[in-house]
Amino acid sequence: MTDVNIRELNEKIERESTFVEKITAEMNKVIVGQKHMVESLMIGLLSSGHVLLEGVPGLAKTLAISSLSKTINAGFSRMQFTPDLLPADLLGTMIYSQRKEEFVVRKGPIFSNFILADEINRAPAKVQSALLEAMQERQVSIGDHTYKLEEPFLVLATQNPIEQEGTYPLPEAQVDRFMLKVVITYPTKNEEKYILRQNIAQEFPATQAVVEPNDILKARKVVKEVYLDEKIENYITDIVFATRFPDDYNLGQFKNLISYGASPRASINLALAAKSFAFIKRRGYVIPEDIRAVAQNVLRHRIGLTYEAEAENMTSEDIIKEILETIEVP
Amino acid sequence: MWKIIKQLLIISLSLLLWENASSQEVKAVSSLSKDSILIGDPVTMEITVEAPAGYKVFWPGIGDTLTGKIEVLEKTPVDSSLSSGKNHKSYYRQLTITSYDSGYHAIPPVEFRYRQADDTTVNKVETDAQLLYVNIPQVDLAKDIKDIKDPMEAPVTFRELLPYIGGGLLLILIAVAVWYWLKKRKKHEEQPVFIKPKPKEPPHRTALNKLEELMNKKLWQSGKIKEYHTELTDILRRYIEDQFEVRAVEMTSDEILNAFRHRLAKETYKMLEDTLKTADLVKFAKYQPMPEDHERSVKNAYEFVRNTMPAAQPVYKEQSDEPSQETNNSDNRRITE
Repeated sequence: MTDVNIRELNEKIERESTFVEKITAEMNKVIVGQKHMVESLMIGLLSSGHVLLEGVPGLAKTLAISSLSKTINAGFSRMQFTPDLLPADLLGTMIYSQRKEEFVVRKGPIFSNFILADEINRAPAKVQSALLEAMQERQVSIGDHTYKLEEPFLVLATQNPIEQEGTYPLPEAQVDRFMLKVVITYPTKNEEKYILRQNIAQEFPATQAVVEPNDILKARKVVKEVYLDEKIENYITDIVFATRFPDDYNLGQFKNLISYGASPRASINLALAAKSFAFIKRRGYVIPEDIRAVAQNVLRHRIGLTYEAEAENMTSEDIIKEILETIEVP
Repeated sequence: MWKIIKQLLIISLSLLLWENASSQEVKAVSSLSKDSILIGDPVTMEITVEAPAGYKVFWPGIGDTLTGKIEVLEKTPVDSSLSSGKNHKSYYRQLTITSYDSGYHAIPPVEFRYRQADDTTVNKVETDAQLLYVNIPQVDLAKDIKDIKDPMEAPVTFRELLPYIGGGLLLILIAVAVWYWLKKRKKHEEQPVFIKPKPKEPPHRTALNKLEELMNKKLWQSGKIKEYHTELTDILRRYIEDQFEVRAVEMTSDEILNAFRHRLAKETYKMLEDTLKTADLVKFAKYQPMPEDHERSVKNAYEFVRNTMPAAQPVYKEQSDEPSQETNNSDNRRITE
């Protein structure tokens, strides 16, 4: 009854996506609640898109990322960004070897599968720029040599929204390179109680490697096969265009609140993230629910707000919510 | 010797006589309108020079004062006229003078130079000197000292009044306009509304009509399966939005189903779920349903509308004042037909 291709694709996704449950189950051993964060990390992993996590300290951002790398049996590097950090500390440098009597390359911590860039906004612009360039190009140049970064390569950066003194906020152009910006909120009361019990117990649960990096690379190929209908493409472009020309979508109230709308990269990432979300939900096609599920994370850091918006306490999340509630669903 | 003196005397006398005769041809006269004034009062001084036609008369330059104590307030330009026989020409000028010093003041003679047209010799003639007496007010020292007089009111000119006149006219114009507007508004408010608003078609009626139209289009029969299911779900979404005031047009299928999960009977909910989910598969997953699936979808839609419409919804028909009643039965008939 179903179209053959979609049925085959659904079956394929059913087979290939079993690891998603395994990873989620392993992560749930150590991360209490934060389902949204775990899901977003999975989307980033499957879409090969970097993730910016924003949340107050102590919300298990670092734990989530390190646990994810452990479940995938992949390399993990953590870098604490500080104002005195240099690009070489991140990328690596050439040092003189007395034994070999020549300069040898000392690779930096970026040569790993999962990079946790903790408090990315504490490092000066040149370090941020070096990291973001590596993220974009997926290769690093040291001396005369260019080194490809090993796949899967995923940068998960964190930002602390509270302590803003002595920070270097990421420029809009660089924030745009993060596929998702995930805002992490506090756990619920019950979750908090569970976290408390878990942390004062004799042994803290440990995650096991349940997937190999190759499985992730294979899954990425399948994700790309997820069917995206033209109606969904239109829905995506409508949402993105509404951020640029709110007047055309009966959203004239946002005209003076948006200084710049989402870029074409937003449309691309919205489609990719929706495909990954559909994959996680074990579906071979994208439905409007998928777009809605990822829209906030994809768009929130790609919409510039004016001073008027700030004066009215209007956030980009409020604007995206209103856009989603106004654009007709296909 | 005596002879020489006599000859010289004769020559001098004849020269004197010739000069007198010559100067008598040109006369300069000045006169005052009054020779006694109160301090600061203006007095007119007229100066006239008469000379034979063809003589050139040079007027002296007259400044702001005639002497240190006599000031010139006004002076007219030099006017000239020919006598009736055209053998004499008169030059006339009028000065307004005054003095702010009391006492007698001598107005010096005004000196003119002239010459004949064919002669280069310049001669002189002058007016008589005048005497002007300037009084000061007599003060009675026995009386009280009085305050100085108030400044005199200058007469108001039309130019000064013009802005006030213009402003007044503008105010009147505005007042008239406001009065006219208020009158018109009042009239408009008082006007009874006789037009009966056109009653809005109930949502279920619209939905049922559109479902019928959709069936008549025979879209899925002609291979337009995607269009068929898109239109079908659009009709349902619009109906839900109008009937239940839920923003169904902007909601996804799951959101709509969540909104109705506890509001509908299980069977009706299943119908809605089946229609929306089948449509989603068609629209987004290239799903090709069987013919009976298409028919089931539209039947479900009909059932959903009939099961959720108000039990006895008055339907206002066009061009009819009385509401007619349509019930579920009438809808049932329509479907079975």
